[in-house]
This record gives sequence, C-alpha cells and structure tokens, in this order.
Amino acid sequence: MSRSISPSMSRSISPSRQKVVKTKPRGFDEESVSVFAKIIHSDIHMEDHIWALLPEDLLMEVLARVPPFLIFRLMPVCRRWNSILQDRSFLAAHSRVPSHGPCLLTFWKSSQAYQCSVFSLPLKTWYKIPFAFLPDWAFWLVGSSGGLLCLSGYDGLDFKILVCNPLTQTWKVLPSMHHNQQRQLTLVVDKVDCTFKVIATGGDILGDQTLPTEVYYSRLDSWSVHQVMPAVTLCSSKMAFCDSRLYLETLSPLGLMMYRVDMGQWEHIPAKFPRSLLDGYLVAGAKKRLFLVGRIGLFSTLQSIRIWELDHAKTAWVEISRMPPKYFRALLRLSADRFDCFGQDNQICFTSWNQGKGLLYDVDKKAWSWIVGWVIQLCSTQVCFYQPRFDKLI
Amino acid sequence: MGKTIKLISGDGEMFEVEEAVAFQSNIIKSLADEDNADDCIPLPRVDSQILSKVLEFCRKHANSPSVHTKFAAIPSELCPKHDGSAAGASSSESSSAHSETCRACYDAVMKLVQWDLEFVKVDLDLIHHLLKAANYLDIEDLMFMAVEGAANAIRGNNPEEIRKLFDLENDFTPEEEKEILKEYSWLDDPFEP
Repeated sequence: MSRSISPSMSRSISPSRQKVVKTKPRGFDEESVSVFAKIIHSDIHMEDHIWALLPEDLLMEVLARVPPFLIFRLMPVCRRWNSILQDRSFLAAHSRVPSHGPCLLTFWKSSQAYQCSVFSLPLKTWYKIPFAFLPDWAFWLVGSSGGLLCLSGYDGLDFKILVCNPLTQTWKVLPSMHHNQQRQLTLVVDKVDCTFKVIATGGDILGDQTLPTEVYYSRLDSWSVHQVMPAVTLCSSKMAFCDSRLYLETLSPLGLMMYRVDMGQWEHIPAKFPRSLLDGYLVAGAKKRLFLVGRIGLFSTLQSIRIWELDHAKTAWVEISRMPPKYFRALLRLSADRFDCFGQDNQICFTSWNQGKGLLYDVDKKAWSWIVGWVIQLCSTQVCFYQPRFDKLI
Repeated sequence: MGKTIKLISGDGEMFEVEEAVAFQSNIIKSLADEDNADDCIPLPRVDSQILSKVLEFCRKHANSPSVHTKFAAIPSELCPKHDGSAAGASSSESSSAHSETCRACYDAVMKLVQWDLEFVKVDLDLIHHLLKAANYLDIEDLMFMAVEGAANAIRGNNPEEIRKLFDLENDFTPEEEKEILKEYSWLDDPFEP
C-alpha cells in the first residue's frame, strides 16, 4: 500500500525563518505565502472558519477517507467540497485509500423485479443499490472484483455478460465470446492497470469440456482464445482466483487445475485433498494465499468444518483453522445441511441454506464472528463480497 | 538519557525531548543536523498545548517503523519483512516459524494503530491543530492519523450536521441543494431487507 498523502503538499513557513537558527527554510513554497499570509501573521483569526481555510490537498485526503457510501452525503455540504469531490485527483486519492472494510452484496432477480443491496460490515448498515440500467436478461451474479460487478444471463437465446460499477452507475455489455454459450466466468480487476478481465472456462451446460478458455480484456475490448482445459474430472465448478491464477478442484487426477492468465495455459497441481473431505470450497485470500474450506467426517457427531491453506512450495494443504463447534452447530442444524462459502481479502463468509445467518472468519485475526445485522430472507439470493470503489474502469 | 533536543513553543514554553522523539519531525531533524546542537529550536507556529500533544504522539512512535506506509485493511501487508503468506517464506524457514514472526509483526503494528485511532478520537478543533502542526513539522504518521480522525468525524452525519461540525457555510441555493439531494436520495432511503 503506497504512501497516501502526496508529497507536494503546501506548507506554511518553516520554523527556521522566524529566528536565530542559521539555516535555509525547508519546504518553503513561494505560492503558499500569499494564500496563507492571513493565517501565518494573525493567529487570532486562525480560529474562524479554520476548516474552510484548510489547504485543498489536505482536505482532499480527509474526504478520500470517508466510506464510499457516505461520500454522497458530502456533495451538498458546500460548493468547495462539491467541486473537490468531482475532481479527478479526488478519485485518484480515494482509490489510494485502503478499502474501508468488507461489504457483502446480495442480488435477487425474478422476471418482474430485482433487489440488489450492499451490507457494509464496518458500518453495520444496508444500502440499496439502484440498478435502473440493468437489462431484463441479467440474472446470475457472476462475482465482484475491485468495485466491479459481473452479471450474466440469456437474452432470448443469446448468452450475454454485463460488467458494471454500482456506485458510479456505469456499465458495459461485453461482446460475444468466440464460442458464445453459458460457461463458468470469473471477473478479475487490475487496479494498477485500470483494466479488467473476464475468464470463461469449463464446459457449457451440457458438459462439453472441449471449449477453449477465453479471456476478455477491457483494454482491447475483445475476447482472446486460449488453451482448452485438459480432460480432467472436476470436483465442483467453484473456482478461486489469486495471483493471476485460476484454480479448480479436480478428482481425477487428484488435485487442482490451475490456469495461468499471463501464459494462457493450464497446469495440474497434484495437491492431495485432506482425508475424509466431504465438500471443498476454494477461496482466494490476499496476495498469493489460497484456502480450502470444507467439511470433514462422514458421521454427523464427528463432523467439523476446517480451513486449509495451500503451501505452494510443498504442494500440500496445511490446516490453519477449525470452526468452533458452537458455530458449526448454529450454522448447520442438520449434518446434511448445505452451506455456502466464499471469500475475499482474507475474510471467509459462511451462509447456511436453511437459515439466513452469516458467519465470518477473519484469517489474519483468526477470529470467528456472526455478521450482526445481516439476514438473507430470500433463498434464491446470490451473495458475494464487494468493495465499493469509484475507480473509473468502465 | 540519550541526546536531547530543546524545542520552544510559540507561547515560549520549552520542551526537552530525546532525539528519537523529536526526529519524528523531518523539519526538526534537518534543522538539528545543521550544526545547531546547543541552540533551541523555536517553533513559533505551534503553541504549547498542541506541541505537547504532538510530542506525546512522537514519543509513542519513536522506536517503531512508520506504520502508515503500510496501513491497510489487509493486515498481511503490514508485515515489513514478510509477505504474509504461510508458504511464502524463504526455503530456510519452516512454515510455522514464519507465521509466528508474521504474527508478532502484525500484533505490534496493530497495537500501535489502535493507539493512534484512540489518539485522534478528540474534538475536531484539536484535530485541525494537529493536522496543521503535523504538516508544518512534516510528521508523516501524525498527518496521516489527523486526516483519518477528521474523516471519522464526518461519518454518519448528514450535510447539515457536517456543516456545523466543520463550521462551513452552505453556499448553495435551496434549488441547487434540492437537486443534489435528489440525485443521491437512494442512499438515505431507510432500508431493511
């Protein structure tokens, strides 16, 4: 995370100019003298409207740290703040500030209505997201990355993909793939580059696995065709993307199928799964960390949910945590209950199909907690982690 | 006690502090370097009340690396020596020893960050003075925290409350204000799923 306050900040006259000390002024900016003459020479008047006189770049750093949903409240405060908020350098300052905390986005769609809302964990508040631009065909929530959301659906017989930024209300329908049919999709954002990619893998709904992997690159606004995934038996279609690699679990041969986006090639990683693993979810963590979350134990009395991390060097799964029994019992009342699991930035979320609750595991703090204030009432609601951002990627 | 620096506030009070503490300020550091070892450094723009608060902050940060260059919601990035991953260590370290070191780094930095967040839970006027002092004396970490503190003061307040807090005048016409509020009204609709 780079230094977030710009070095070119103006500074009032440095101490050395005032008295005895025989040194040159430090950081003395010619232009700032006239602006700050009022402040420098009359301390008494400093008290009046001190915030109104705060230098623009400092004020911008303050405003950039306000959580994204609350920035809109700053727009009507006064003209000066309003113009700063619309300034391009404000958006740059805002994108340098680390995310204000995990948010969960829920999406539910029927033919007549849709509902999209975001729950901010740090603020413990719900925000409804208006999606007036959302076309009728957008039905599935593919995922979210770097503030963007990807949705897909059938427009008549055509399979279509849409990428949007809910905060800036900008969106784009992607061009058709070379082999345009419903496939497993992954959205990946490159914040440095200010571009995004959508990776299409796997077979179509009929299970045809001979389709080549395709990648959409926003800079070129086109799809490129790459290697077909080698013939393997997949465990599940759930994928995890981290460190420019896409991972899938495979049964035969046992391990992980890894797609390297930079090379456009697939490679098999023979990482053996933990014994007696019933179901496994791949979850990407921060940087290069890859987690496996799953249930162990055939018999209900001995079941537990555990989390492993891939030791890339040893190609082995190392257990890093176990869900405490009280959470396990509360989350899954019956041992056969299904649960859903997804993660982002070292936060792993568990939701149970039968109950609307959400459980959060913070990998760094090694802490389990219920997500207070978060309830999913509609069973066909799709959920993912979401980072509200104003970056102009679309 | 190691080498000390004498600072004189704007209202004439003298503060004698250790070099490591005073050198949190890049301005003080460069002035002290210039062969004025015996002189006091006058700081006419900072009064004693603010200077003592600033020095309290500096004392806490004197022997830590700058935390805010790595201040992030993603704690693994806080670790200055390691990349935070259990398996990312050099081949000579075992995975478990590596995570332990990471954990220690992480804990130390998080403690300091927590202290900083408490430090800036003060009224806005004081934050403003701290911000200006930090800018004037070039103390990066304090500048960062004061900015963070000011941003926190904004949270959860509506425009009118923000204006009161920051003593700002509403220079929009009622019609203009209505237009702006309308555009973002979706944010304020009370919503429970």
